[in-house]
Amino acid sequence: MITNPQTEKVNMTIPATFGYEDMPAAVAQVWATKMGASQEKADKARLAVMEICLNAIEHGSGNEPAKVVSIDLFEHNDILVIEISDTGKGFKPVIPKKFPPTQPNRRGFGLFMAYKLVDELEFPPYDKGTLVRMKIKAEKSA
Amino acid sequence: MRETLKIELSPDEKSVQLIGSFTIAAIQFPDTVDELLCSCKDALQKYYEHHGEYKLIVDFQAIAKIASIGFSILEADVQDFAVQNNAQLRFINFPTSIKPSLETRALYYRLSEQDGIHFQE
Repeated sequence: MITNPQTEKVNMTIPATFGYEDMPAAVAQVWATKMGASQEKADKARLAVMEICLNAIEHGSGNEPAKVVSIDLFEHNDILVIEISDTGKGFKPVIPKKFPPTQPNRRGFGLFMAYKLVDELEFPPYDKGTLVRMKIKAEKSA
Repeated sequence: MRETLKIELSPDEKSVQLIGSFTIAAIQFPDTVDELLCSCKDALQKYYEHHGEYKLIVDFQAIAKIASIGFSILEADVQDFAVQNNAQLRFINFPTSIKPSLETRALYYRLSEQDGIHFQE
């Protein structure tokens, strides 16, 4: 985790089941807007958080509502930082740099979409599951 | 938290309306795609009967949420259906909270106006 974020932090935990991803996604959208991001960029933040939360729910938690997905949001040097973690087994992330081929089950697109939607996407070392960190700059341009 | 997706024809039967959430929680693959394409076929035929041209209109007027699987179905299945039927494809009524720019939509769908795919607010 980034230490000493200097500003207030919002922490959310949601049940690890489909449907709750809307809530942190909405918070990210509102926060990005308050930072001065354009509507489109705030919308992108919303979609990116939704996709990463869906991955944490499905792949990290098996869609089990007894488990939780944690979301931390804070500002650091005029950048909105969003950290999403689950308590699963973790995985070796490979972010596709180009459009992944369409899968027979129409899956496998979320991580690439999130990568394209935010300014930075990274997977810091995390021994309790999977941690995804996204950064969204406050600039108004998308 | 239950999410649902309804696929139905518009009252004039010339477009396909999506109602609910176009997400993994609401989509049963491949059944949902089969249902969607069946409705697309009906809407396309009805549009042709009225206007003498093949145009497929997908109306998102009551969609609350779209996730990557929804985007993927649109770019893969719906686009392919339109291409196979030589039909112009038009997406209308994107939800206000999910209204990315044309460039971003093209990214999501791997489509663009140059491909004959038209986006309409």
